[in-house]
Amino acid sequence: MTAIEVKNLSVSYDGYDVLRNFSLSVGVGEAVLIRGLSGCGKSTLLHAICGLIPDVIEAEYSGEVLIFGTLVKSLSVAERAKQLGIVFQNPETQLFCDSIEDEIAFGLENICIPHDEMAQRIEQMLKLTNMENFRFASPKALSGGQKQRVVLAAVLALDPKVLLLDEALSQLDRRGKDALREQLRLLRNEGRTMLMVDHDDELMSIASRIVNL
Amino acid sequence: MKKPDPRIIFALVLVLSSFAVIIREDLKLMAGLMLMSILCALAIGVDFRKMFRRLKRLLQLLLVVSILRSIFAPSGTILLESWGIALLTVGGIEMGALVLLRFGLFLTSGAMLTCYPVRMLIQGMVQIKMPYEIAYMISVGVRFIPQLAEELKDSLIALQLRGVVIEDLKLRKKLSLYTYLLLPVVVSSMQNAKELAMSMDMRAFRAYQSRTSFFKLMLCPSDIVILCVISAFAVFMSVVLIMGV
Ligand SMILES: Nc1ncnc2c1ncn2[C@@H]1O[C@H](COP(=O)(O)OP(=O)(O)OP(=O)(O)O)[C@@H](O)[C@H]1O
Ligand SMILES: [Mg+2]
Repeated sequence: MTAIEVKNLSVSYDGYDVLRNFSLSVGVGEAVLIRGLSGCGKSTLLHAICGLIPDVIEAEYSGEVLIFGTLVKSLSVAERAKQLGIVFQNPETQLFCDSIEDEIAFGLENICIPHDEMAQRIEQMLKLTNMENFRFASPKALSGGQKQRVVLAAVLALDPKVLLLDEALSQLDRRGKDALREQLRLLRNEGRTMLMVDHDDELMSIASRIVNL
Repeated sequence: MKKPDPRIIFALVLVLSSFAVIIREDLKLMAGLMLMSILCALAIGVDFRKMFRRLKRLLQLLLVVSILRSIFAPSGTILLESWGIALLTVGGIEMGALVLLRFGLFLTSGAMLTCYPVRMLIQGMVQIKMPYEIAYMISVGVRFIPQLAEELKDSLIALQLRGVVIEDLKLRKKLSLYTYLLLPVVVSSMQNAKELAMSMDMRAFRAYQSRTSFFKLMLCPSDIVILCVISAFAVFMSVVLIMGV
């Protein structure tokens, strides 16, 4: 079974080709790293996989994206959130709540998780991303790397089958990178499908396959 | 002391601002209302030093309204006159004061709301049965205002660092400068808003008609008491207004 199937994907912005006839298939449990220079279309690819192109981001688009065999376009919001979790590149624009706790709870509230289970998952995520001491802190007061960790916690709380990461280590320091890489390794070992995008080779060690874009 | 439930404040703000609109002429009643709202605001912990700074600008409004009113609809004793035209009358000043108090009431009401974390306000709105989409829309919208101001400040600083002394520019130049600066700031805010919307979307925002909530507001006995006082106050004010005491 393939988790993600990208078929002949072409995306261009105002006539400027970013992706041309790109195909990729990611099996369940695989951890694929997509490498490429800045501006080569890595973020664009992730946006297309989530179905944000062309619905939210305007672009000329052709090709197909299937998530576990279903066209991503035909997934409902709830179904899509259960299958795909994405950490976007810019942590500044992904946090909007008053506290870290709220931030993690936000997605869970949306899919109507009952209160007790929510409490449990929030606890888990805080521990996983090492943000326990910041539970009631405002996201605004955090560093870039901490914000990235909070976003990851908020996304993982929904327990998506596939995790998409857009340069998730970019704002972390050496120690933060090592710690998060170990967390991602654990996730991979648990069998979570991952598609990572980076212009560095920092995530190479946890990738089971590398694709150059 | 624990702050009252935000829903209580919604009720208070509703009462205060409705009367601020309803009261047309009665200066004494308006002053009483203002006093009441200042007391409430103090009890909640509004920072009045900040408020007064804003109110200072409003004092000019008082003067403008008073003069306009005196010239175009003179009433009461004439205090200042030139070439047979009344420039300042008691009626005009009263009108100006009324307008000032009305604005003051709106400001204090708004300030009371800002004493609460946004999450509490959203939850308050949701728990009085406002659709959660709208509650979130309002809160995210409100959040973008300071961000806009922040970015505008950044680009102004960037400009000053390049050696432009903004204070020395003529007013017309200054205005055109602000419009040039505002455009990219608005565009970048729109981009940020879009990215935020994508992130909320991917975290299942609006997946279903309703959503659960990790954080819940609960009315405590003191809230009920305050609510009763507010209701009694509203009834009292209505009676006074209708009877014209
Ligand atoms: N919404 C958009 N509208 C117009 N052009 C865009 C848009 N998004 C991206 N582009 C352009 O498409 C190209 C690829 O962008 P993309 O963000 O996918 O690159 P990337 O590989 O993620 O780069 P980086 O490593 O810097 O994040 C860039 O030239 C960019 O300018
Ligand atoms: Mg990118």
